[in-house]
Amino acid sequence: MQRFNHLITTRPHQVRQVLISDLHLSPQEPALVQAFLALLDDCLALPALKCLFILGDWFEVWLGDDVYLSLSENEQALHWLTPLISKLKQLRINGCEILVMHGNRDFLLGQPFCNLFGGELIEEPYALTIGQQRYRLEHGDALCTDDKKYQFFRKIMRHRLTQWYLLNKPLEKRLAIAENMRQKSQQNNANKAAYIMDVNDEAVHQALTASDALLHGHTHRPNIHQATSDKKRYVLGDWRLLDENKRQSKVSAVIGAVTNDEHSNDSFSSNDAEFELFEFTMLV
Amino acid sequence: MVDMPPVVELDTNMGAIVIELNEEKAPKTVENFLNYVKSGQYDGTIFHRIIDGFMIQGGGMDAEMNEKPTNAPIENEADNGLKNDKGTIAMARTQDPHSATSQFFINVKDNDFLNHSGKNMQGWGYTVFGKVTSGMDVIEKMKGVPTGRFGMHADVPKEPVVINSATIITQ
Repeated sequence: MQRFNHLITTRPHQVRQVLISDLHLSPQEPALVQAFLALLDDCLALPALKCLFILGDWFEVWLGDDVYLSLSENEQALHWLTPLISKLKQLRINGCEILVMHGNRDFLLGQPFCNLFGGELIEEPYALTIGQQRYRLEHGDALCTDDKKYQFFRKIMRHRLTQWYLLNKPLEKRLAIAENMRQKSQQNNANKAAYIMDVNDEAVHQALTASDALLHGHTHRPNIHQATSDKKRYVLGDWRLLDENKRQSKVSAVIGAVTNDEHSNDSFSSNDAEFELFEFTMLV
Repeated sequence: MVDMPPVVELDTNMGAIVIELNEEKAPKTVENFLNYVKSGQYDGTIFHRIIDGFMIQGGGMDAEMNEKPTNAPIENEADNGLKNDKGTIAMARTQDPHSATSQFFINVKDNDFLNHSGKNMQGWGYTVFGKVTSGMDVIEKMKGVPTGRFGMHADVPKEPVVINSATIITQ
């Protein structure tokens, strides 16, 4: 797999879009946060980048926009999210769109938070034309249809009433509920067969009926699959801290990028635009 | 007796845009802008940076993308309570909060992230000093023009969007 660092140092003018997912950022993972900031620095240096897609599970948990928005100016200055928001804002001012999709962890993330950096919430599935191909973008949890328990749970959690109910609870209650859900999920996952925890073939075929390719995350199994005879399924990877106990640890993630010939028509539906997976790494 | 707010008309090759300036909330910025208008600075400049869904920026380059010399930078007045909402005009600048000179931009969307949130580098924001009272339809056309790279500049309209002249209608 090509390395992202190689791409941006050899042909920076050709990188038009970057797509990531499953960062699971939290204050408990400072290396992952630093790695995301490093990716944003890379993006800020790309002269022709038009769009950054964050396709779900950006945050390990999201209890509501008010958690950050209700902080005082001083509290925000010290908050771990503030450097992220600053860099994203700068990226937006440079002319790059920032499109954010919900995952199963951060489905309470709202437009008010995205407005802090000029980002936009997008719904799944999201249709993106790359070159001649129509890509279908989604987080991936909706494709795990063998996990009936989860799909039932998901239907409830994604319902507007549930979200309204949760967001109206005081923060400590929300923390307790999230903690409870996480524990239950871990217990359930320990008992699930591996196949339940991956996408279902029939669901994938259904998803591909009106598209030429499928792109998702969630499963933490980055790869390119030949889903049908002529259609591919691309899976983005989760952000991982590797070699933690060795002298040199690093963060690694499989991300996506759309490139095209810098001399072609600038619109990113130009005929020769190409999507590929890349390995992004940052030495800690 | 209430003073009428100053009004400036931009005559462009895609139509006329009329802007009402908020002297009360952005006195230094409006004074600076009117000085450039009076001296003919904006005549023959283009909207050199157009990003659909974000803003159209101009007042700094001629049609050959040469930057026109400017006066000294002005103090940032973004803490005046005015918001970078759709149809407002604000001053462009570099990372330095107090670096605005002649370039301005018109918001084509509510751009909350450009608003003042604190007196620090990340939070200073962009000074809003007026709003479009006529010509939003012209701006809607402008924001959709094909753009491309021009040297180190991105989002440059392929066909120049020219400000033929900027004139003060009332003051």
